[in-house]
Amino acid sequence: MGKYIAKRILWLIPIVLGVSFIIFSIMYLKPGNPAQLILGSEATQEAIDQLSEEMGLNEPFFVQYFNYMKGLIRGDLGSSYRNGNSVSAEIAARFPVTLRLAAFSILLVCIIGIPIGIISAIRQYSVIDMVSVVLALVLASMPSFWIGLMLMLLFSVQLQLLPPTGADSWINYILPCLTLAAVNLAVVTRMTRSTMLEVIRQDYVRTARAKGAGEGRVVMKHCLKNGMIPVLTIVAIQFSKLIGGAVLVESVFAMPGLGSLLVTAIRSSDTPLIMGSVIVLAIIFTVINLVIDLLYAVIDPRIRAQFAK
Amino acid sequence: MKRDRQQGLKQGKFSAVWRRMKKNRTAMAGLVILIIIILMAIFADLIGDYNEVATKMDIANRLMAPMKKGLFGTDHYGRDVLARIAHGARVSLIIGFGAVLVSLVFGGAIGATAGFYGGRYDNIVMRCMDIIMAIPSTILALAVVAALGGGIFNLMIAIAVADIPNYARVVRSSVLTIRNADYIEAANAVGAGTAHVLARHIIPNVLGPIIVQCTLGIGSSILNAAGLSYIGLGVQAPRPEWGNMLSEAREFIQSAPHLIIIPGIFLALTVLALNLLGDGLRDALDPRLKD
Amino acid sequence: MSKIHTILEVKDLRVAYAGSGERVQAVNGLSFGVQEGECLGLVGETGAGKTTVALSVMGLLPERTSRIESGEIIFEGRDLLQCKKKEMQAIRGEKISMIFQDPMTSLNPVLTIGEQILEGLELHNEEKKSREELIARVHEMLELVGIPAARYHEYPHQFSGGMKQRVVIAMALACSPKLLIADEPTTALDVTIQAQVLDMMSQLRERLGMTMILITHDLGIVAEKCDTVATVYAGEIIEFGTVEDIFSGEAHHPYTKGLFDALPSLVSTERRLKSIEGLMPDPTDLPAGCKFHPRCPRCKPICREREPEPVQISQSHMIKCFLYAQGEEEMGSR
Repeated sequence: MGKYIAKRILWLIPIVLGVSFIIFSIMYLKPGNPAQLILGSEATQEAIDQLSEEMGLNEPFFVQYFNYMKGLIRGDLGSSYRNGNSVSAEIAARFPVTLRLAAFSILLVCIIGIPIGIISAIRQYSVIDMVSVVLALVLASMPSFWIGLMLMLLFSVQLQLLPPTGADSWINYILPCLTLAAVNLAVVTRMTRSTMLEVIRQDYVRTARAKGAGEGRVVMKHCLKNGMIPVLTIVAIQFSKLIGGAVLVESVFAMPGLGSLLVTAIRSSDTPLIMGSVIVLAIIFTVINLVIDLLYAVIDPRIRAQFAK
Repeated sequence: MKRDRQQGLKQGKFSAVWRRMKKNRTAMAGLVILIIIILMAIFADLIGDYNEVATKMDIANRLMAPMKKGLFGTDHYGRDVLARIAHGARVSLIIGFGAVLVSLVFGGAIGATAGFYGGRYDNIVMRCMDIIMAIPSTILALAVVAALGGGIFNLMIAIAVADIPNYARVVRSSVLTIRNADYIEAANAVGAGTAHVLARHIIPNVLGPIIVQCTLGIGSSILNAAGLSYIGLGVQAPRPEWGNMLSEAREFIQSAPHLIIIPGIFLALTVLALNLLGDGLRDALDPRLKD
Repeated sequence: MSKIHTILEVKDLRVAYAGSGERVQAVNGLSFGVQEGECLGLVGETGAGKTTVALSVMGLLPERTSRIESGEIIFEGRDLLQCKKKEMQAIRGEKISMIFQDPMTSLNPVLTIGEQILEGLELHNEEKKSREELIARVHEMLELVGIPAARYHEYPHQFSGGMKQRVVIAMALACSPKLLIADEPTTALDVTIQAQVLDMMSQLRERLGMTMILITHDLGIVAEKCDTVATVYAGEIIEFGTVEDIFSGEAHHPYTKGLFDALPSLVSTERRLKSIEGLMPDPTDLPAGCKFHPRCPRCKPICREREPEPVQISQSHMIKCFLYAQGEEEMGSR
């Protein structure tokens, strides 16, 4: 088990290397000279050349990548082209907002989506099931930012109950979290439902009934644990969508998180900031996936057995 | 005569899928909605000329409510919303179909070769796909757009790049399951060549899951494109696109909520239609999978 | 002959499945009784309705797609079909246990085998025994079926097929049920393991004084392990008798005879095995008259029109066929 965890953590290294390489390459292809960008349009060619030299922009691609990675290992992601601030510091300042947003949303998704999915499966073709199936289909078809706008329209503009923008208190988080949860809720509910439907039909569930187990016990003890692995997988996948969605939702509700930082960075062609935010987001996502992979082992003895080998 | 029979078999399979589709009411509803939106996109210029109506400012008639001027009213520059929706449909559909086509071609080629040849090649390629998948797709698309700049074509590429691993995986896994299926071994055993096995057995059987993935993929590509346009990194004004229409309308959420409601409904409806169709196709292609 | 206590009696049971527009008549007015302590074999082809009968007794028919249309299932003087859900739960596992066909899938992969055996004991713990006592009972059960008690904490995937079926048996017997229903308990196992498991089952049955219904399509197993035999065809019992009646008696239903002719025999000089012509009738569209008539080599005109009544050949032997009917019904033969 310990060996497996170590192996999985080591796998983080090629992922981070690969991700940073891809992002670095994409950014390298970006037209325009950063030195020009920093100095503004009135700078002389000499000044631009001098700054390019200082920044190492004339070095070959791999040398630049190597230098960047050296910084990354020390936690130094360079400094913003716009204001010269440390990228790491900027990200650290914005990170808590995104983390809160994502964590609350996924929590909301799990505590609402999974029970509804289970009830839908147990009471297949009941009213609850029908409603949840239709709702899931409709919600999954809506763009997250539009759901955000509609919630804003309803709760902030029409009812004037909740603030439309900002991140000053927990009240500001209600609408963004609901928005992010809504889209992902649909997928998790559907997945839970179909997984549970499959599990309920398994022979071992019939065996449990043959032992005299009641409906509640059959679901809680025999179905849940078996159904949780596919559900966890989908939650992990949804988390990636959630991080992507957070970028949009932060824009809608003007929340100062990593996503809006990234958007401003892109708008202002601030390459170090773009790269830093993307790499940090990718690392967060990878770590979450790692945690979920480890959870599989806790749930399923067969997976645990594979690790032991 | 042999060819005739094979033709007949193929037609038989297609019509069987179609027959099952026709019975599925929600899938047919999706198909109808999709056809209406496609027609709207094709005949957008009849609904309102691009230069004369969809992008022509008319400040005197700005922020008109639906039915007061035109079916869907006007926006903050007095442009007709219906015409903009129709032209936006064009952009959204082009990006949706285009992105799926691009990722299908690249992802399909990668997945099919990985699945077919296996071994070290498979291992390396799929590890690379894993790495790409470690980047949340919206974020990757954002990064690509940041590098390439906005515009319809770049947007299409950006969205496609992020989706390539998904297609590679779907294609690879269907190739793998089929490659190991008994009937392929049987075909090999009677001495069928690689090309023959590919053409006669693998491709027709891989087609099902891929068609489903594509149908659902068009929907998510449209959503992604709208999202990128919403934050101002996709299709640029004045060209109307559902995402950037929503972005422009945000300021007027109090005075003209219809500008937010209408494009969103069209987005949701298009994606819903594609999802219904995709689900219906999945059930029709493989009736065993249903629930 | 001493009157023996009838532990289970199924009377005129009719069960239908309704799925996607089609109605499948799985069990068609089937009746039989099992005496306490004996082993009844239910034989018949796949799809004859044997498992449906077993699931009806257990009250485990799929709720939404199946319907019991008529009949009674009397167990210890109570009609199980009238029992409430809670009452059935109390009976299942405690008084009546069932062993399912495929041991590979009938154990929960995420629970240890010990936990799974323990579960039944916990559910039917009327005497309020402590957990330690129950666990001791699990150990005892494991040893009884030939599994070291030390394997309590292992998971199903760590066991072979035969060992898994032993676990399933331990699970079914944990509460010392009065009646055990074994649905093709060895079909999914290797031939070499089959005999071991069967021998163990019959030993345990004798030791615990249990009544058993053994569902199988293997006549060899029936001859070896059963006291009475019921031949099931298209949801009906067409012949019922003691093992001697069925295996050595003179009179047989043409279908039972067909089953025997399809068996290889060491003494027979015949070159080829006979098979029964045709297929099981489509349960969505059963033939009129005797359900077997389209395949019957001795079919008479009356068989196409009327359903045969059960005929008592001897006190223990029943056959449902016009060949053995008395009087006017014999007019078909010339």
